[in-house]
Amino acid sequence: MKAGSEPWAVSLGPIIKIKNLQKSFDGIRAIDNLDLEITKNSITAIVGPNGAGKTTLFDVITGFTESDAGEMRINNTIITGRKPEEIVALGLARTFQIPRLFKNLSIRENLLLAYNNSADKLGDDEFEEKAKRVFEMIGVSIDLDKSADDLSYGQRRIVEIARCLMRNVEIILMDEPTAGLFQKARESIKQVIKKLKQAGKTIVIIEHDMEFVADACEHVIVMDEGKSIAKGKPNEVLKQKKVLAAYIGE
Amino acid sequence: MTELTSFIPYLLQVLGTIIIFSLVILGMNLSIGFTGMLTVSHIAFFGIGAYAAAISFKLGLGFIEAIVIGTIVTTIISYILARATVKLKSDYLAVASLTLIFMVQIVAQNWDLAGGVFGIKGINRVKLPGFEISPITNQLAYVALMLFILAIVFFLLKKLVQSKFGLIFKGIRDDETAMQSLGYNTEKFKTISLIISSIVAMLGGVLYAHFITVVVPTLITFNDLLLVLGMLVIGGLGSLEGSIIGTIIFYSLPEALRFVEMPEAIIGLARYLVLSVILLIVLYIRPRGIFGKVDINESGQ
Ligand SMILES: Nc1ncnc2c1ncn2[C@@H]1O[C@H](COP(=O)(O)OP(=O)(O)OP(=O)(O)O)[C@@H](O)[C@H]1O
Ligand SMILES: [Mg+2]
Repeated sequence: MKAGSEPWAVSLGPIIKIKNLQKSFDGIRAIDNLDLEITKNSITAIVGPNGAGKTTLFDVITGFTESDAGEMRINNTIITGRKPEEIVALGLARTFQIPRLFKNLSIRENLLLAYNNSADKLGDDEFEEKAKRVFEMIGVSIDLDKSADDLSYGQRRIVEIARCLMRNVEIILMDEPTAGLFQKARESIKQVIKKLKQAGKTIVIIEHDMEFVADACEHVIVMDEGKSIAKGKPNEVLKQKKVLAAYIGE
Repeated sequence: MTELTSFIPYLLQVLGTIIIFSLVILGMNLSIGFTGMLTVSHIAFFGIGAYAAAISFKLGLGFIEAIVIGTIVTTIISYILARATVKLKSDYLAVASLTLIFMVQIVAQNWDLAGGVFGIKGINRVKLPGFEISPITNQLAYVALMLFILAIVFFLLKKLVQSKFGLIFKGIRDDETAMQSLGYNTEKFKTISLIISSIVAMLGGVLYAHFITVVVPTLITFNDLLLVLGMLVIGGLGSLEGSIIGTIIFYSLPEALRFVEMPEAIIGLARYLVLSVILLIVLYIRPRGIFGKVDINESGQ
């Protein structure tokens, strides 16, 4: 029996594996023959100039946008062509570039909707307990009865992340979680990401702030015009000429 | 005395009409105000309910049978409507729901059993034992029955919107994409919401048929669309209490015009004028409607 065919060997592979992924919008190649692997229990940054295809990549992985070709796997399960609700049920959560809260609902109701659909949900007391723990971890105290509509932009991002964490997931995709935030809030998001990794999660974040990437992330993937043009450790990759050129030449 | 004996039937007429409209508005609010599905198909289902009752009567079946038949037909048609439109953008549902109103009317006009363009007349008032002394007592008993049915529907809907299911509907209303990202099969829940809300509106139709005793195809037209939407918006999207209050205000205030002396020719015009003024005043003071919890421009994406 070959080692690779043993059941436990599966978990040693990448948690997300993408091969030859293609997606065009009216002839514009948003994702162009992309290969990508995300290591389990790591923090990976996806960087690249505006329009590089980063958000589209998240949308395709989570099933909101259908790919034209290619194959995607999570934990070796093929997710290509599956619906968002089926894909996220495999243990995946995401935030959006523009936070998507339920604005006519309270923060508690926002969190409850995530919690109620979590595989490990329990009763109301456990919900309150979990919500408390999540906000403690983020390092923010917030009145759960506040309407989501009354929150500042920064608070919305925090609550959206908190909502993701109310589901017990293995993989968290964050689309520019620090955009538009002040230094203090960026710092707390950085800490959250590090704590999530300690808790065994896999985190993929789209990020424009290179200092943040160098400080918080173990891997970086540089995208340009839908392709992955470089990957590796942040301090090595971000110095490469082609990476700098992609940013300047946009 | 003669004034009183003519005033009571009038009052019952107004009350009964308000109850019937309330059911349609409650159904609409569940779809539009609580689930964010832009649809006016409830008018079509109101018509289906009215015809279910009228045809049942013609076939010698009773009130309860009419409700059962109406529920079955409504469930099937609203399921098809939901399946055909949930995947599409909200605007398609709006168009499809308008088309459905049109289709029900066409079918009613051309179906012999439904009485064609003349409709079905002479439908019985539901007789409640012990109240058959006079037409007035019987009418009183029927209006009480309708009020009872409205109360039950209101209570059940209240339970529904406060439940976990209700929260899911509200989540879909506010952001369907976010709901999918949390793992919800939003198509399934939208379908359920549409079926329930359609059944509520259908009930209004069954009550109508036995109240007015005449059902004609022109019952199901766009004419009252403005009236119905006004009732919904004035009470407030996302509020069941608002649906009742909005219906009362929007129906009874113009009704007061009956007691003002004015030339026959301008009554209809005056009615619409009053309605428009009420709508403008309320929405100026309270853009979300009297009890509304949702901004109109925010519902749906
Ligand atoms: N729904 C869509 N319809 C048409 N074109 C799209 C759509 N979504 C993305 N695009 C195009 O695909 C390309 C990649 O867009 P994408 O949003 O993925 O970039 P991004 O890397 O996330 O950029 P940013 O840093 O600005 O967020 C762009 O050219 C964009 O205009
Ligand atoms: Mg983007």
